[in-house]
Amino acid sequence: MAIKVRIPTPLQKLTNGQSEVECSATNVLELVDALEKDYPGMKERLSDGGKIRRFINIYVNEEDIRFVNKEETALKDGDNVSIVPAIAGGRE
Amino acid sequence: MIIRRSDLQKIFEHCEREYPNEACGILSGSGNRVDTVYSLSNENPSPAFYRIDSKDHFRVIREMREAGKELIGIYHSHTGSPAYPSPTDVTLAYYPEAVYVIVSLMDRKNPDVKGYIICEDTITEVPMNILQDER
Repeated sequence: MAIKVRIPTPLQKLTNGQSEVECSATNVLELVDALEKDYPGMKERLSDGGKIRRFINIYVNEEDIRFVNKEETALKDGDNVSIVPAIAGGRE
Repeated sequence: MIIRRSDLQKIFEHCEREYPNEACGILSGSGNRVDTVYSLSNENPSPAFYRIDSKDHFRVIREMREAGKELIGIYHSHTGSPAYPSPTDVTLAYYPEAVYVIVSLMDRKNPDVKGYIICEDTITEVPMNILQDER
């Protein structure tokens, strides 16, 4: 059993239109590397210098990794990961 | 975008409630017609910035998926500037399929509302068609 990853619409051009993919990893950073291997370009879109980009929300099951263990948040087979660009903006 | 007057009023009331901070929310529906207004929390309350609370965001995505609805719009308020996307709005516009609805509260008694598609740094205004509510 692998980890299921939901891919947001803007990144589906990297996954040949797939909205959900599977991969194996033991934490979020490894997951990003695994996605990059299968879908080149993903790492640059999701992270910068080993950190998840500020306006990318990543949820493991239902938990936002920013409130768990950030990039080190553990993963195991059967987990559901959702990648969701934040909805943000403002006049600043 | 087609929206009921009562839904627009709900957005205005949320923006007024959050003033002087920016309010934000999600509009779901089918095609270009709004069915549901989700008034959500600003994760970093500020008069100049918004980010939809990530827990709220996740919950709404799931609700929309289960209801077979799509995210068709995103709204937020500008409390001291016109109803036009700021450079920050454009930089952070990750949803090219959504209408970005901006409410300006420069005149709080008469809020201004406009809708835009923001795609690859290009801003295109879309008409807001307001439906009178059925009696």
